[in-house]
Amino acid sequence: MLPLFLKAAMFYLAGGCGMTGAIMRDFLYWLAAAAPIATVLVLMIRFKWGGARAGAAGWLVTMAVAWGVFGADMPLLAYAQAKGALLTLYVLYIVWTALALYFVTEETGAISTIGEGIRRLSPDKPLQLLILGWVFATFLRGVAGFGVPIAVVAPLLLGLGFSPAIAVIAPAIGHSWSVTFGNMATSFEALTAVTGLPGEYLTFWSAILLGVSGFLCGAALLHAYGGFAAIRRTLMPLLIFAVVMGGVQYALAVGGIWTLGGFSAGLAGLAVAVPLARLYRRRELAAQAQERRETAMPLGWAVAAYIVFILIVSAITFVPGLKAVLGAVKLGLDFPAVSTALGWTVPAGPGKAISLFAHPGAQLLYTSVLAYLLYRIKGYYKPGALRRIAIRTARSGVPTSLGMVSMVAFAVVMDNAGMTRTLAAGIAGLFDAAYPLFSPAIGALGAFMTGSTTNSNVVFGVFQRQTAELIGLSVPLILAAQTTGASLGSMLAPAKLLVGCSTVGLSGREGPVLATTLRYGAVITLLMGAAVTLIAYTIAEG
Amino acid sequence: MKRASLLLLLSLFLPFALYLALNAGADLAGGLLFAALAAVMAVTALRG
Repeated sequence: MLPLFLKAAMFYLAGGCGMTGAIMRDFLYWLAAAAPIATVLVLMIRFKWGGARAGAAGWLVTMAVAWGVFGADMPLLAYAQAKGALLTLYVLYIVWTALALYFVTEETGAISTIGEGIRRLSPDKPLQLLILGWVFATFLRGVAGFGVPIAVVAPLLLGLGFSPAIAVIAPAIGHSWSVTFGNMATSFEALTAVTGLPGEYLTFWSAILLGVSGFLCGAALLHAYGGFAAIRRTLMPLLIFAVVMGGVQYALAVGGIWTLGGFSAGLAGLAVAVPLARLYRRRELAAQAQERRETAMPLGWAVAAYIVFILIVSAITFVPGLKAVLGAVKLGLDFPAVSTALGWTVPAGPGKAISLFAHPGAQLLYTSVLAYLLYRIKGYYKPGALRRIAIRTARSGVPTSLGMVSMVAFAVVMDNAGMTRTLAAGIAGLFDAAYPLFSPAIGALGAFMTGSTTNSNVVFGVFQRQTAELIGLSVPLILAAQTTGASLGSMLAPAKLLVGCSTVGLSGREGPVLATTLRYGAVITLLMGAAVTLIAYTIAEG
Repeated sequence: MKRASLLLLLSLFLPFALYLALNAGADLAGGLLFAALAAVMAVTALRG
């Protein structure tokens, strides 16, 4: 009954627009396929719903359209739910353990100790902004996500005398380039999972485009502070940081250790910051840098948890046989072939397997436990710390996870019902050769609308892949553009900016901050679109 | 927070129950579980 009703309503609508025949039919199917994404966009942007509520609404619309218009039957929809749940568990394993590690260290005061160490490095304002707002924010994005870099760095910048607006804008812009390979490369893992392509196939162009966008982010936050004069004055450190951080991320990503890409880029940037700051230190300002403030612990202990993290990841990656032993226990399901009434078929095959003891989430879990024991033995915790860590982890993790469950599920249903393919075919027909120019903007739009780079990659990953295939463009390049745009879009996520503004006393006055960040985000995303177009038609032809 | 946690657990684990029901050929149970999942999503959309 419902399918017939929906189809009748669609054809009535199109008839009113004067369309006929095949064009009308294709356009209506395209509109129906776009309905779930449009629902999420409208609810989040126009009605200011959170990701969890909007995602669930998008899920309901997807089910109705997949069944009513695309002819997906009960087994197809049901198996897609299980595939989506498996994929969600894969990503949430990382999300929750990364949050736990962050709160294990933050509870000791280690994060503010690291920030204070950076303040002492240099009294030069643009350089401080670059080190804290870009390099330190990148490092923080390497170990935690969900607004943590902005929430931690903004108060530090405010304390150094920067305006509240700059204190929020700088880390918002500065951390975004490293989102894809930061936090155990959750977003990149999600992209490989939904597209079904191996990570090695996607790392090259992703690391290149993200490296270039990193330089642009550094330049943008300097421009936001002091215009082109600030960029000219700090050009050499800007270039050095860009080459070091982008280079380290590239080397690790292409070398197969992309889970450490963003984290190591930030760490390398911090390592370079020490000699660089000394080189640029001005004599008359040196005394200010020596002024010491009380910190919770020595800097060495503050970074101890992250050294443990590097050691664990390196051991699992490089010790022969260790990964195979830990990876022996896997959680996975096999799925039968399913098809829609319109003839779209999904072949039989396994879902995303989760290696319980070698998964990036497991590595974060080992680190969290060891770091907690280390800090506990050294007496850095106040009574009740473990309970506070658990509560704060749950409070941050539950809303994010709830949004992710529904969004991943509806993205998988859209893919399995042929809706994503329909959407891609329509966009490919519309933009055709100009598509590469807009591909990063699509990723950015996804991150803006869902508040998450991972969700953007989940929702638009398959769509971008299929569009690239239809137009005949390089798939890894277009997927790199997707994840680069999604990373840049995370600087615009209203929820993150709200968190940042609340830490510097700008609550209720977020508008100008969002407007400025939006301006820089749009310019960088368009520049990346131009770069992708150039590469697509010169070097990386499809 | 409690409601959100419950909704999260249901929306994460109902799909696996659905998978088991379908593989066991229990179509009616599968239908009921799918309806339950839709109800969970509806509550999430309306109440968050």
